[in-house]
Amino acid sequence: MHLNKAISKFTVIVLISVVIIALLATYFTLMPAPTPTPTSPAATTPQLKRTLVIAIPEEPMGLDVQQVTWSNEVHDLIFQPLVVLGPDMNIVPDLALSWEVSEDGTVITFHIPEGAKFSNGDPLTAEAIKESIERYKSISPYAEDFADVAEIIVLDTYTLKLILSRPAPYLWAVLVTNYGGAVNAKVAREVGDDAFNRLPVGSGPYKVKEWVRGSHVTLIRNDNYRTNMPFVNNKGPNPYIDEIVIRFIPEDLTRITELEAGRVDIVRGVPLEEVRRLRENPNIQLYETLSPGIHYIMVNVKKEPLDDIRVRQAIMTALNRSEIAAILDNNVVPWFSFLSPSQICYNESVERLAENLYEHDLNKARELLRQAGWVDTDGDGIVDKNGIPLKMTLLSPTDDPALKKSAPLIQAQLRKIGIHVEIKEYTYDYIRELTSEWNFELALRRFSWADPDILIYLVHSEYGNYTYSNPEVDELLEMGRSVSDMTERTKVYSRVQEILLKDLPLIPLFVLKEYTAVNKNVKGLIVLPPYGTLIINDAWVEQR
Amino acid sequence: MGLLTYVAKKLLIGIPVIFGVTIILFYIMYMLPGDPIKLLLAGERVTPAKIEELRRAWGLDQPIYIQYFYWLSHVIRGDLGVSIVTKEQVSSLISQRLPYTMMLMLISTLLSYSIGVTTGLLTALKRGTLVDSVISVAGVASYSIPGFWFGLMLMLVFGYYLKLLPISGYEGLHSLILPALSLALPSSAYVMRLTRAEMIEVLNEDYIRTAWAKGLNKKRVLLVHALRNAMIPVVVMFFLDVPWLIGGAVVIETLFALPGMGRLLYVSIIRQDYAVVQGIVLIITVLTVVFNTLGDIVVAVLDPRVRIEKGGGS
Repeated sequence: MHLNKAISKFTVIVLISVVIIALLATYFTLMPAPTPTPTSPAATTPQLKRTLVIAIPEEPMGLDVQQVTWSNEVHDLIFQPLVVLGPDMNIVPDLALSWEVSEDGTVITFHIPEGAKFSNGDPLTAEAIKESIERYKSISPYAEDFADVAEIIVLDTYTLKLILSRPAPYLWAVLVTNYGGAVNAKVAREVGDDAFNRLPVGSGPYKVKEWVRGSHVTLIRNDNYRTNMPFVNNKGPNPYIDEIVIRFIPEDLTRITELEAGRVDIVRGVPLEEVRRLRENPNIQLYETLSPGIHYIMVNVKKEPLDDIRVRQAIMTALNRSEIAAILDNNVVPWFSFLSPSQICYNESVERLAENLYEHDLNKARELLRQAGWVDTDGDGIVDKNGIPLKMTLLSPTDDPALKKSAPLIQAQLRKIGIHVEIKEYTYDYIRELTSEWNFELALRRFSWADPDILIYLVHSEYGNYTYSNPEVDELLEMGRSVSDMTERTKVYSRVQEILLKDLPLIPLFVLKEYTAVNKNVKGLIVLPPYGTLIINDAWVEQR
Repeated sequence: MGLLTYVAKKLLIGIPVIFGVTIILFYIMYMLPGDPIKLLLAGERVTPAKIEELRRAWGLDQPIYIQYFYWLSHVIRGDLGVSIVTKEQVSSLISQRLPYTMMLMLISTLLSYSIGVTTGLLTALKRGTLVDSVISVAGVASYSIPGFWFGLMLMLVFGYYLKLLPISGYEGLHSLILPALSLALPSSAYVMRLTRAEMIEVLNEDYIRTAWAKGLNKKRVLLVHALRNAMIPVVVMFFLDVPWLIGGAVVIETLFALPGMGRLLYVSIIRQDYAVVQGIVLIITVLTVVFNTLGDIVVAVLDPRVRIEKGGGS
C-alpha cells in the first residue's frame, strides 16, 4: 500500500512531466518563426479599436447600388460582386465559387457556394441573383450594362446561367464592381425601392446599421459574409472590426486634419497638394493606385483649324508632359496612348509606339504647323494663315485640381509654337455638356473605367455623340464588345488606339495616381487596384 | 387692434416677397450652366437616349413657366416635391437637417450678441481709453477675417492641438461650439460697433442729463434709461440678421462637416437638385419675412412711437 502510493505518486509526476514536455514540444514546433510583420493581431497586441472610421468627401446619393448613378466606398462594403479584379487585373471569384464561359462566349455559368446568405439571413441562391439582375435591368440608370443578357436560367439552387445574345466581354467590367453585387430583391419588393435605397440588403462584409443624413453611415459586421477571394486569408466576417463608420467630410483640409488627429483611420480623396506632406508624416501610410483611365484634351475635330490633323499633331508633339507631371508633384504619369495600365487590354507596346511618335519636339511641332500653312508672318509670336492668327480656347474644369493646374502650363507650352490659347474655366460636368453639344475647341477631360469599352462612349460616332467619327473605329469598338478571347480583344483595342494615334480626337496627357491615406495603426488593409477598393477582410485597428 | 392690423399688413406684404423670391430663384437655377440630368449621370457609360428618358420623367423637358407652376401648385398643397438626386421628399430631407442649423444659429446668435453688447457697452463707457482702442481694433480685425479661415484656425487650435473639442462632425451640442464661434465672431463686431455708437449717442441726449441731474444712481441711468433706448437698433439688427446667418451656415457647416441645412443647400446647388434648393430657399425666405415682422413688432413694443407713425394715426 505504501509502495503503491509511492508508485502512483511517481506515475502522476511522470505523466505530468510528459504532458508538459509534449505541450512545450508541440508549442515550439507549431509556433511559426517570429516575423517582423504580424499577420493577425492576436500575436501582437490585444488592444484593438473595434470601430474603423473612414472619411470620404461625398455622401452617397442612395445606398442601393441599383438606383444610384455613382457608387462609392459604402456600396463596396454593403454589396459583394460574383467576381472581382484581383491584384494582377485578372478576374477571380468573390461570392462565386467558380464559373465557366462557353466556347463561343455566349453562355456564362456561375456556381454559387452552398449555404450563401444575404446579410439578413435570406438564402442567396441562383434564383436570388437572377431576381437581382432582372431588377438591375428594370430600374438601374445603367440598365444598358446588361442589355446583351438575353436570358437568365436557374439550373439548380446554386447554378446560374447567363445566356447572352452575343459575346459580351465588357460585361465583366460591370460584374467586378459593386454594381455587380447581388441585392436582396425580395426585401426591395416588400419595403419598396425608396426604403430599400435607405436600408438595402446585400451580401458584402458589412451591413447598414444607420445612415445619418449629411453626416455618416454606420455599418456593422455581416456575420453571414463568405467570400472566395483568393488573395485574402480571412474568407469570413472580420472578427476584429465590429463597426465601420463612414463619415462624409466635404472639405479637404478638415478631412486631412481629422486623419492627422487620429480621429479618422482612412481618408479617401486625398488632395494632390497634401500628398507630399502626408508622405512625410511617420504615422500615415499612403497607398497608391493608378487610375483606370487617362486625363486628356478632347479636340473638336469638326472645327477649324483643329480639323487639320497636322495642327492636332503639332499640339500633341509640342506638349511637354514631364513638365506637366512636375508641377503636379509627379502625382501623375506622363501618358501618350489611350488606355492606362490599370485598364483591361492595356498594351505597353502601344504606349511605347505613341511615345516615339509624339515625343516632345518643338521644332517638329513648328514644322507641322508650317506644313499646315501656319507661319508667323507679322512677328508677333503667334502663327497666322491668311492674316488670321491661330487662336483657340481650352475649357478647364475648376473642380478637377490636376486638370485645372495643367491648363496654364499647356497654354504656355503651346504658345512656344505660336498657338494662342485662351483658358475658360467651368465645372467639369458643364464642360462635359459643352463637349457633347460640340460647343468647344479644346477641353480638358478624364475617364475612369477598368474596361476599354469605355472608349465607345468617347470616340464611337453614335454612342459617344462627340465630333469624331471613323467607321473603322466604330467597327472595331463594336467588335471589342464581343470578342471574348483576351489576346484577340487586346489586339482589337491596340488597333483602335493605333488609329486614334493617327487621328488624334483626344490628346492624352497623363494617368493620375490616386491615393488612400491610412493611419499606421490600421494593419492588414488591402487597397485593391484599379479603383482602390478597400479590402478589410484581414484588417485590424490597433489602439493608438 | 392697432398692433394686430400692423402685423397683418406686414405679413400680407411678405407674401408677394416670397413669391417674387421663388420666381427669381427658379429662373436663376434654370439659367445656371449645366443640365441636372447630365450632372446626375456622372459616368461616361450613358447613352443620350437614357438622358432624354430621365429628362421627360422629371418633367425637365417642359418650359420653365410650366415647371414653376407645377412646383407652385404642389407647394400650396404642402408638397415641396422630390429630390432628383436622392428621390426623397424634400420636406423630409429638410426637416432632418433644419434642427442642426437652427441650433447653430441660436448658439452663434447668443454668442455674438453677448460678446457684441458687452464689448459695445464697455467701449462706449470707456470711450477714448486704451480699453476702447484695443477692443475696437480687435473688432475691426474680427470682421475682416473670413469666417472660413477663422473656423480653420479654431479647428486647428481647439480640435487638433488642444483636443478640447471635436474637429468636425456632430457628436453632440459641444460639436457646435467651434462652428458657432466662427459664425459669431465677425457678427459680434458689428453688434459691438452698433451698440457702441448708439450708446454714445444716447448718453449725449438731454433726458440722460436729466436723469443724472435727478440724482439717479449710475446703474439705473445706464441700464434703464440709456440701454433701453440704445438697444432698439441692435434688436432690429438681430431680426434682420437671420438670412446672413444662414448664408454663413452654408460655408461653416461645409467646413465643419455638420449635417445641417446650409450644407444641404450647398450640395444641392452643386448637384442642381432644383426641388431641394427651391424648398430650402422658400424656408429661408419665409423665415426672413417672419423675423422681419417680428423685428417690427418688437420695435413697436419697445418704442410705441413707431406704431403710431406707421399706423396712420390710428
